[in-house]
Amino acid sequence: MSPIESQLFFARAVLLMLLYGFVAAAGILAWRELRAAQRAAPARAAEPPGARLIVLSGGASERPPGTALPLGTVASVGRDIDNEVVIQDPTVSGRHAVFSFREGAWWVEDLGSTNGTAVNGRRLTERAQALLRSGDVVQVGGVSLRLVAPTLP
Amino acid sequence: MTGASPSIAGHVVRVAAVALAGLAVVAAATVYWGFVAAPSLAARPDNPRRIAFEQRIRRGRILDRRGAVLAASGGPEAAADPASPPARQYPVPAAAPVVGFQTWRYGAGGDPRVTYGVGGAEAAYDDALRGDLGMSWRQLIASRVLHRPLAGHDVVLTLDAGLQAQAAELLGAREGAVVVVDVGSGAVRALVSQPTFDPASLDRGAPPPDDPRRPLFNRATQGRYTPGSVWKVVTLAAALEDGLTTLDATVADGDASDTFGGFRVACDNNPDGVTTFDMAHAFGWSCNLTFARLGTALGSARYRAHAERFGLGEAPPFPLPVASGSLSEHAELPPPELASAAFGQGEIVTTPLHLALIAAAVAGDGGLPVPYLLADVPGIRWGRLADERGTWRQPIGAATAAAVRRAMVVAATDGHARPARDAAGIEIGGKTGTAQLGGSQRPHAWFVGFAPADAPRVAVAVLVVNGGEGSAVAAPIGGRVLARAVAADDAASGDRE
Amino acid sequence: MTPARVGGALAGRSGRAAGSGWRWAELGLLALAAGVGIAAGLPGAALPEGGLRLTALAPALALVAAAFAIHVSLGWRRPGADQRILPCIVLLMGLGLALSQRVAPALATRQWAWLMIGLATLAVSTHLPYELRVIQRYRYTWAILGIVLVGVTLVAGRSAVPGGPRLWLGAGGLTFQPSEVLRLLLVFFMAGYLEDKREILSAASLKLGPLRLMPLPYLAPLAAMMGVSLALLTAQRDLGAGLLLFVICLGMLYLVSGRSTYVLGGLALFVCAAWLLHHEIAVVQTRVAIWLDPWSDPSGAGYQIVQGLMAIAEGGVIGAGIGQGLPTSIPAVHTDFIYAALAEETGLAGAAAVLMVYATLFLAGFRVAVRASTPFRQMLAAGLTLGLSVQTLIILGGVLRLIPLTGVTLPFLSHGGTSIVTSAVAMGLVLRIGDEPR
Repeated sequence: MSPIESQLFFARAVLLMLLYGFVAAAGILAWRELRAAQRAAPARAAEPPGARLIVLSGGASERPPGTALPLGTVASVGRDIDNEVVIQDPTVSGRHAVFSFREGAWWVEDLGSTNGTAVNGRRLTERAQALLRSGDVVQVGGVSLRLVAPTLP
Repeated sequence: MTGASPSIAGHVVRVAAVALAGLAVVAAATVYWGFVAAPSLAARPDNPRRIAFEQRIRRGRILDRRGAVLAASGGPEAAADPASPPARQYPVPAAAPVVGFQTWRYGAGGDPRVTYGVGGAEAAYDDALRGDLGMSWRQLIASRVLHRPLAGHDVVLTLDAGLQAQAAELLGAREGAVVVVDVGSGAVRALVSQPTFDPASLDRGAPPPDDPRRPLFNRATQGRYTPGSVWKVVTLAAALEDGLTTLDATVADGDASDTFGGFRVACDNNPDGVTTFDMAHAFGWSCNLTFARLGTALGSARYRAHAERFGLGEAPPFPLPVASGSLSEHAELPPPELASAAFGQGEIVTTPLHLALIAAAVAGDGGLPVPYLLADVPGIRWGRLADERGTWRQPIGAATAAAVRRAMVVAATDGHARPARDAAGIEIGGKTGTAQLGGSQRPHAWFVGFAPADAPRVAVAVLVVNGGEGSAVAAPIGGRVLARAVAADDAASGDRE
Repeated sequence: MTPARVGGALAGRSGRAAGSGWRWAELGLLALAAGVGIAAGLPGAALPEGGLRLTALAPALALVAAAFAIHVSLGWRRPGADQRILPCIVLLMGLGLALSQRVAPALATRQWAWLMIGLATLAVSTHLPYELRVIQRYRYTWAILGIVLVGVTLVAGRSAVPGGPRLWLGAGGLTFQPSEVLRLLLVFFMAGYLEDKREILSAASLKLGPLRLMPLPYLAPLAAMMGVSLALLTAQRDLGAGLLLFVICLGMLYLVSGRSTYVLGGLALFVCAAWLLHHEIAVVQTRVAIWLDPWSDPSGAGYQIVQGLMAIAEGGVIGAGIGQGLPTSIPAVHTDFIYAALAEETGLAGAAAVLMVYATLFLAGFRVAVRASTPFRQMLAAGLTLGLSVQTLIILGGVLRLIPLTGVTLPFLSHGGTSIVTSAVAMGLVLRIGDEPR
């Protein structure tokens, strides 16, 4: 092969190698994302259907007692409208607490609220988490909520 | 309430799946066109890639039996510009009827785009010349996968360039054909058809398809002509084979005449005053009456059977296109037609190549050889290597062939074929013909023969269309061609020793 | 499980990359994409006696440099944007530039300029400090703009060939293709409008129950947009753009409703319209006839498609090599038939890789849509990606004789300034949606 021929052949080989290198790298990236999603998945997959919070009492809340608030896997509670569960009550902070389901159980975490979060009357320290059972009462500011999770004990 | 809509997210996933499926279908279609349907698309004659690919091929040369170049392509530097494809060189223009042509423009039918066209041996051995045959796996990968141009093989023909050129020169500007074949093997040493074309100039300005001179028409293999008296070779052989007559049988037809179904035939060509002679001289002097009687004695069915055993009505296997002759449109020949067919007149027509094969048959052991052109393709170890060879037809036995041979030697010594012997300067056998065409047309001049007379090695057929008397016009050409062929043969065997 | 994990999960939901840091995946992919662009340009820069003419690689290098600049700017201002979109675009642009230099060298500099403008447009549409809600707010403006654009084109449009379809608008030396812009405007309008009327749809479908009639508020704008596409189709003879707009309409309707009845109804409408058009308009008849049987007239009507298929056939598995094939025998190879040139010179291997790059790009776009935080953002990202993927499928299907050939460009690979710029705007917006500023 003449120099120009070998050069052209080299360029072709490099082009194809790079093209497939790109495709493979994109594939690996997609695979990693899939694995990350999979690692997060057990919580989501085991999410019990029908978990909800029932409003028991709430001072100025526009949510009357008896209202059911459905819960997602991770549900933040607060006054701001970008929370999953919005409670328009002056005693509730903008981003007050977060309910999350993982390892087969519901957890609640206070997000540093002004008026605090309590479970069955026990006040959570800031940024601490508490394990919940179905029927537990969670006090978010001045609003009492009962967790109803039909598939949990 | 803000937040993403899970339902829209679900629909997006489905739409994405449809888009991916679409891309998969596109990929499958690409595989179909690029792989499954690719061979048929690549082979389409209107594929410009085919032309471009052909132009990059280093096409093999065509050589004659002694290595003289008949066709060769320019160097690789000539192949770069697709606008002016490299013209192929044809150093022996007289060989055009055999070598044919390879061109980029001719045959496109007015289409301005470049088109690949081949004819003659260029077409017959195209795959060897291109290099499609006999590729090693390495070359196969280089050409199929890496799209590297092919390198073709040289092709060696049985043709003798010198003989071919001389035969063409002897014909000169006259329309006609000369065919020289090896007795026994059937190797074609010369195959001339005039007028012919210059294969190198086809790219520049081809003869129009309606050229009245029909230069692309190969008269030697495809022209069907009334054979005239040279056909008496077949009639004589048939009569001898059936024991109807012998060479020494006395014939007293010198000044006689007879009618066959109202058709009057006489003996017009014997020397004045000689009325009684033997069958050999009746042949040599080309006595029509004698042969009309032989044909009538054989009868229509037997005559047709003999003619067909000599290959009339069928084309011999040959790498170039060949026409077949025919005896008559009638299944049962009426008496006048049977009588005239026996001396080569009437409806009977055949090709110069066929008559050369008949001459080779009687010059040999009675079998018509299969004519062939391809001597060798050096470098090819597998693939389609050779033309068919062997005996095509065996109409008569060796003894009959020897008798006919003797009659042809008499004809060349005492008869009308004498001018051929004089021109050759060696002992030969031969037979002339003057095919009457009716109307005011000049007759075709014919000669068939072989040389040397005692142990024939080459056979020839010469036709000069509307040339006149066979003995005056065709016989001298045949004689010279035979002498040249034998001399070349001797020189070659001398070289070998 | 630490609280930080929960916070991380929340951040992930909002689209910002977990574990802030450099966008290494984008950088790595971009390096490979740059390599592809340069390797594809090498044969064009090779000198016959060996060695390289580096100036011939300058456009590709400039393109790569601009791409890296955008990468840095994304890391700085849009750290959460998808990391695959930019490298995919750069790879396609690099290949497109090399193919352009090879099949249409006279136009290659122009194409390079358009690609650079395209990258700049991408950066601008990603970084402009306006809120995406602006697009939603002015949804009717987009619709009116689109209709005006079609009207102006019908009246004052120019044709590339005398008597041909009038697809071009322009003043002076600069022309653009309104149908490409219309595609973008349509997605803007549909995303805003459909998001607005989403609730009505669900309510109405409940009320109407088994009848499953399309709610009236949908019917009017949909009919208007159908009208626009049909106007393009009939008056301008721009079959490709008409088909593209139509499919985008249907697709976005499905995105918001999830009701395949709309798609089926739309398809039924399309079949009726196609049948009518087939009978009324000669150019449709010709296109369909060529599609059904290009072989009967391979040197006349079917010349382009047959030559394109021959080019693909020539490519084989690894192709002839860039510069080694004969794709220039195909008319319009640098626009509609660039894929045939690609398949001829890089073979099935190269064509399959490019299809996978398109798949990666589309999946990245749809992934942004799935993860976007509001329905409008979801609709916008999905609609923009849908437009690009439908355009890709229409032209590839046409070139491969899967559907009748209609003239649209192959995004980022074909010649065509308007197409490059509008596609870049679309993908820039998708990048922006992926970042989720709060």
